[in-house]
Amino acid sequence: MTLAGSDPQQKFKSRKEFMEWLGEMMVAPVEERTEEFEGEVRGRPRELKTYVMESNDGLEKIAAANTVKTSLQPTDLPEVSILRLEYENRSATFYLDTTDTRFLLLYTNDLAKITDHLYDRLVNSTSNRFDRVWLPTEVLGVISHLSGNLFRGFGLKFDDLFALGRPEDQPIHELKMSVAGLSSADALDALKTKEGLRRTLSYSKVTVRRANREGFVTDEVGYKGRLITKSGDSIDDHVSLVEIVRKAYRGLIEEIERSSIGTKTVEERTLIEGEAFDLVLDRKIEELDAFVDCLLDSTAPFRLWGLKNKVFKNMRQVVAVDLHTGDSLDLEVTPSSVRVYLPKGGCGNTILRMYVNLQHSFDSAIRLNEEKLQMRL
Amino acid sequence: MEPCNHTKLMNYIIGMCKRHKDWISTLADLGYEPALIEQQIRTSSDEVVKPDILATSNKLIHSLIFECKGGVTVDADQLRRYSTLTEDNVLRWTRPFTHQNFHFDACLVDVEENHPVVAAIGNQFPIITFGTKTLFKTNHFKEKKLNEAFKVPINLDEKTPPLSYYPFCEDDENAYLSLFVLRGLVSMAVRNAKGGPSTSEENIITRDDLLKSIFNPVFDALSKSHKDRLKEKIKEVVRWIMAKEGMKEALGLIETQAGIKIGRPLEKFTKEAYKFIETVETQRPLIEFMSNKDSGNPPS
Repeated sequence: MTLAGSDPQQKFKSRKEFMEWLGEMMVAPVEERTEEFEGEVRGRPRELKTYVMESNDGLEKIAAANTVKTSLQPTDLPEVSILRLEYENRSATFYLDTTDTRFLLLYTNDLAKITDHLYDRLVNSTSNRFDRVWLPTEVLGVISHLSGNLFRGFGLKFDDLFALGRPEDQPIHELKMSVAGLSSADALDALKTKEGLRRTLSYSKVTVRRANREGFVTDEVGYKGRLITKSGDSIDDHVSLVEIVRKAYRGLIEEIERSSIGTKTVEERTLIEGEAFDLVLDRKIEELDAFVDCLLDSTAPFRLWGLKNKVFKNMRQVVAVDLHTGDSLDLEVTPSSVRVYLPKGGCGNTILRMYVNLQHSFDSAIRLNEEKLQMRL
Repeated sequence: MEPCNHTKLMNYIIGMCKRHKDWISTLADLGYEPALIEQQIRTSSDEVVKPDILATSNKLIHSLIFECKGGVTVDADQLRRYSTLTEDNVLRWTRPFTHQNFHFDACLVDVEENHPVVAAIGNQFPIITFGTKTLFKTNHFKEKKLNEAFKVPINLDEKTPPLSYYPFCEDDENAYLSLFVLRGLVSMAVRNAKGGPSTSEENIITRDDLLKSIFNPVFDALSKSHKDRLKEKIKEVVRWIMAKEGMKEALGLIETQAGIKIGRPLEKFTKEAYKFIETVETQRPLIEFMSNKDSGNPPS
């Protein structure tokens, strides 16, 4: 199968050539021959998609992925490689930019349905330390309103994974909504006035338009770190938006990791540094044990294993392991908060993965009660 | 299952030097940062004290030296040694931004049920006492800001103390420690799968980095003798788990030349781990009863 925009022979002699290639992927024409995929007939222009992936091992262990077949081909640019992912009868090509070795950028214009699936398998591989980036609702809100960006729509997604009893008996057990257009902000304001929706308004994406004299781009920025070009031809605007997301996320992770628990020596003093994070809930946890069991089921999205211990009537102590890295993590869960201790050397992504997924599956009004971080959020 | 009083008190004090939504930040508000844990300090009269926590405030140019008394045993000689501690002795281990006007207080920390015994012997020291509903102070600090901060009892109702800054000590029950040891095994197994270092029973008990994954990075702030005692305790608990009849098989622990492998899906391991903890938990009152019976004491 030859896919539009994919050419594993590409060498990229310069950064300019790479950017132009990405630009071509962005404006790839409608394929003459429509392609059938799972019964759907697709004839739309290819959309350029960029995935921002967190890696604790750089690119070193990408070949060890046990959930998807990988092949990596270098180019003349040391920071750019061509990554081919295959699983069963699906495959896709990604152009991998490792300028930032912790937050890798994967560009592709293969079909989203295939690339999402293969990317999922890659980040969930148990033999690597890869993860998505997890963008909190607050961060998506800030990004969409930065100078140079115009807010042009949003998507909401809430799915109550912690509901007790039958889902249909919950006030809102699922919410999915998409709003696009100039007055999207008004629609959001209207939703915010509804008390019954207060804890379910988590952004699954924001639509952002960026323009310069010569062109524009309209991108959807998803909470799982995927940016997808919906229209426009300005590759510089797309890539600069990707950079904004990557840098904002890096700043957040570094701030989190500065609060991890450990020791430091300052002017001959050994100090116990760091502080646990309080995830403060607006919605009360009714059944602590059921909540904790759900959080620790070892699967995505939380990817946590652990043992719980009832210390007090209203508190469960949890000794956990982050399955993304294998690092230990301590939690203390009460009806109104989850206190998380990240050990020094632990991955800050663990905190945001938990926080963002609680926003989407338990309480969108959850807050990170850590002053410095709140400022960044 | 609760940690022992000593572990609780250590966490309560460290937690007071932090800012948490559900816990009091009285010491953080005065600028105290926790530093050393159980560091041996030689006093001017050539004797030795080992305070549980040393916290220093740059704001007050003052150190607080805490001795946590989880039980009813108070060593009068130990308290006498604390009286021989001088500013210079303390300044060997901590560095406020200036030495000028540096002062310190040695302070006892206890729980309400044991307070009468501790207060009777430690009457020359300020004492912070944790009750179920309040925290209160007995006697006076040299630092007047502390006297003001603890002037009236502090309400602890609806508060949730932290317990994970200092996860356990050698006085904790084996059953409580087994939570951390089992977690350590899973952590190492997951890291192995990702190409991390391999583990073995021997490694767990001797290598500091593996121990840290069972304790936490605060391990680095402990004195050498404290680290050694914890290593011994962890070693004892690993042996205790492995020696339980059928335990290795139930948890799927396979000893290989390279180390211990978990040969079961995590879900099954978790189920067996809970079963194990539940069993040792239910056995505990009986063991306590038997040992108390032998000693003639009523079960607590």
